[in-house]
Amino acid sequence: MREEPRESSRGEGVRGGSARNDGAGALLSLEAIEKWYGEVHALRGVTLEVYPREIVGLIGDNGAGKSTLIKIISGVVPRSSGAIRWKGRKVRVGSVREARRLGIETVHQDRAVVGSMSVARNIFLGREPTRWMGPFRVLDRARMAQEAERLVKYLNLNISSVDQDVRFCSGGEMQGVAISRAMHFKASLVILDEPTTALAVSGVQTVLDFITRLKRDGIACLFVTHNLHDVYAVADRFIVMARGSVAAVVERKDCTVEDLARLQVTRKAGA
Amino acid sequence: MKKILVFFSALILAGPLAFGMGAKERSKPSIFIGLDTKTVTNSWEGYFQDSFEWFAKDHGWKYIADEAGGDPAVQITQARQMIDSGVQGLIVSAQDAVAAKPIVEFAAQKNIPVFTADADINSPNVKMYVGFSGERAGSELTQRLVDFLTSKHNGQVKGTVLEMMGPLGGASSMDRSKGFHDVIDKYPGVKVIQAVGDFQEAPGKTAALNVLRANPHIDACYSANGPMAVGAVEAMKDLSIDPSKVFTVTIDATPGVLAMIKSGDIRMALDQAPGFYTAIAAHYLVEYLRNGQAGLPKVGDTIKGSDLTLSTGVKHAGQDIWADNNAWAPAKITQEFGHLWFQTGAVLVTKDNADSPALWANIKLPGKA
Amino acid sequence: MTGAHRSLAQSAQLFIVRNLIWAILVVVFLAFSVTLPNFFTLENVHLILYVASALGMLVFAESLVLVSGNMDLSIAHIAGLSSMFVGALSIQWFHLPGWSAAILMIVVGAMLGSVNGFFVGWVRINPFLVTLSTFLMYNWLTYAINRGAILAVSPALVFLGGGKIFGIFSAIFVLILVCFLLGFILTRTPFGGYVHAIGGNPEASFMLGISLPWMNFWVFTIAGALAGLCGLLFVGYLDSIPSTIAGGDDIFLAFAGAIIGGISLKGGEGTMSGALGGVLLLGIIDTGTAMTLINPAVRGFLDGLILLLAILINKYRLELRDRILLPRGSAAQAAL
Repeated sequence: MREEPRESSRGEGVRGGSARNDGAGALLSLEAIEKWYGEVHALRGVTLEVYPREIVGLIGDNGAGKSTLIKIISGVVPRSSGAIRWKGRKVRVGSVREARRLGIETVHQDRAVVGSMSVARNIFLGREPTRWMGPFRVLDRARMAQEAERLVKYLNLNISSVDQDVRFCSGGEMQGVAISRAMHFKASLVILDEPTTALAVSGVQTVLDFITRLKRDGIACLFVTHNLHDVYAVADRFIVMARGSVAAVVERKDCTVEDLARLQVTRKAGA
Repeated sequence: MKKILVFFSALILAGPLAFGMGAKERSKPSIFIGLDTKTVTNSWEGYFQDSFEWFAKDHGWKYIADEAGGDPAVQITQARQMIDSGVQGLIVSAQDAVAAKPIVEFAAQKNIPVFTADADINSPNVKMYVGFSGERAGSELTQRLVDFLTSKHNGQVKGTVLEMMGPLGGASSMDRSKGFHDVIDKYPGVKVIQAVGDFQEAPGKTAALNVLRANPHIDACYSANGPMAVGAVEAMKDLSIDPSKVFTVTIDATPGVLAMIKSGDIRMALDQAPGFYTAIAAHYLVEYLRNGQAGLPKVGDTIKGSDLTLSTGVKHAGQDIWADNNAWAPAKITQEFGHLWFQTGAVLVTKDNADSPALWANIKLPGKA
Repeated sequence: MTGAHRSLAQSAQLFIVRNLIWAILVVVFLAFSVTLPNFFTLENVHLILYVASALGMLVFAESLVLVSGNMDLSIAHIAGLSSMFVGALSIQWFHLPGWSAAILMIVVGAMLGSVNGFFVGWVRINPFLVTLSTFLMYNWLTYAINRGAILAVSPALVFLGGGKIFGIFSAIFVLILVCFLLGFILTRTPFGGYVHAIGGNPEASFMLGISLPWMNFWVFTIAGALAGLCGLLFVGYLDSIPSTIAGGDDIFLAFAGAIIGGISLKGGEGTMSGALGGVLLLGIIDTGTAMTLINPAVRGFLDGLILLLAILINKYRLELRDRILLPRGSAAQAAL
């Protein structure tokens, strides 16, 4: 008989910590994050933690606030109030650059790739290695190609040449390109936003393999999705969001996929 | 952000206000006239409009002037706007002689007299046209060109002539080309090659370059306007054709043309007096407003320089620009298209008289080096 | 799996298709050469390059802007206003040496372009609307300064556009140099990559930390500088500064040259060498039809017809290219 997952008795949202350690040693810690878009209260006091080397599945119905939360963590939009701690220290994730510098990489829903550019260029987009050619700063194409090939091989991507335009890659391969970015730049936390949506079955498996590999390499993952089967296959822990706050937290060993589905539907804050 | 919006809104509103104030006269005038001209893109056209404004200002008349960017439809709209704003008379230089007819009809309904200058409108309701006629100018110049060909080839009229044309379909352009062809087509021994220069230097030079490449041996060049002649000469220079050996003639002695006449690259130009066209038209327009048809000359009259005093005593650009009537006199009064035609004379400018201060291109106009 | 190379035949095919504009150019050139005397001469090639130089600057400017996902309607009038303004400043109002006026024209062009850059980049207004407004403003400002032409231009000012180095028009050197420089920037520098990125996928660029406001700002400013250079070349071409520099057709030709040269209207794609090919093709067609000496009205029609043909061929080129580029046996190719 499984334990009942911890539930909130007052509809304010639950601390998303693991049953094991309560906040100590957390990689990323969010405290009472609020976000207003004009009149719309998108996030209401979200508090959660992500620990090193774990895969956390962030699930919830549409409109639960998952993508807003992701945007705040990855530096795309600023939070209205609340604190963010990284490795115990309070930080302000004011921009994408700052997030990356901390070691937070995001694999976006639309893969954030530029179709007309090559795989190698896409992996390094925004952070190209450069060298000096006389007084000018130019791209170090040799290094980019070399690194790109290494990553592609490591992730077992079926890409014949890193100079190939990304638009010719399949969905799963494009996902691989986006994940290569995270791996190359030594992320500590990789956020994956709906990585398996719009992928064929083979593509899904590839992505799940990537994620397990990330964990093996010591990188924590925040896997955001509404596809419960996919996330159940790889995650250690699940955080369920509803109506802008955390509704439940449950370890994988304590629930089934059906339990998750039930949680997703019945939870709502402000009971 | 809001502050920026407020600032820019204020700026945008200030614009029309400033324009509105500029167009009006300060004194209490009883005469209000308007000029609706086809384009103002070169110094001839600029002077044409400036002269109208100066003349009106000197006389204390209220005035408004606008140009249509070469668009006949815009010209009609502008005329309506001027009439609606209360002008008592209108001077028009039409982009298209036929398309501009609605202006005359509309004005006639409101009893507002319409005069034309430089480019006429084909309507009997026009009170009077002031100008030389591109067709006559073209023919006169071409005759001299033919004389040159004859003497060059020992009595035979043959050779190759480059014709620089304005925008195909423009009234002015068609007139000037017709004048040329009325004369040159009589001589089958003459080969004519055509280049369309759109009345401007750069297209003129490029078109001439293209055409001259296939036919570098030309004896003469007829250009429908000054800027294109300049462009054609530049093309010759780039192709190592000696312009002084080519008999180049053009209508309008613009400053660029004048410089080239003085250096020998252009042989002659037929200069119309832009400064006088609008002054004469304005003068007669006001005469008509005051005295009706009696204020206008009659068909068959010859107006000599001494008959008409246009000088206002006020200097413009450092000169009394309407003092010397030789730029247009003597003028013949004829009838064309059912209305009066004040046919001005034109000055033939060659190296001999290129330095004459009466030439408008020699006046230190604002906006010209 | 990785690092597979294409066969030699494939590489050759790809090369031709990528540079199809040049193949078309050669074909058209030969077609005219066969039917017209005096066409297939060195002098003719020289002159075609010369006449294409000033317009070429505008084509490059428009190409850059298009690749970044924007469009610029005002560059022709930036050319006109910068040359007229600096002309008046350095000749009529003050007396400045010719070479300084030349540099100033480019600088003023950049400043005029930066106005577009500011409104598109920071105020976030649609580039069509912004450049339409500046198009009008700059056009009328030019006339407000001068309606006629400034004639007393100094030899230093005129040199780049009309002078010769070793018997070859210096404007041609400018054309090739600028093409090379811009092409290098676009393909070999991070900045160039960002231009492609914001054109190909602006949301992704934003997510990856590329600053959209700054990129847009610089793209329009550089386009303005190129337009200023265009004005400078025209001054040399005409040996004077008329108020109608780059007026009329030129903005359309700038777009036409860019698009025939392979720049996509959607953004994210295109090369400077393609743009160069485009402007030269326009020049060849224009010269060729002019030299046939048939009725000018018919000539204009022919111009348009040949242009249409070139555009159709170029469109087909893109499909051809994709066909070759797709890895063999991949799902995407099967779908084609």
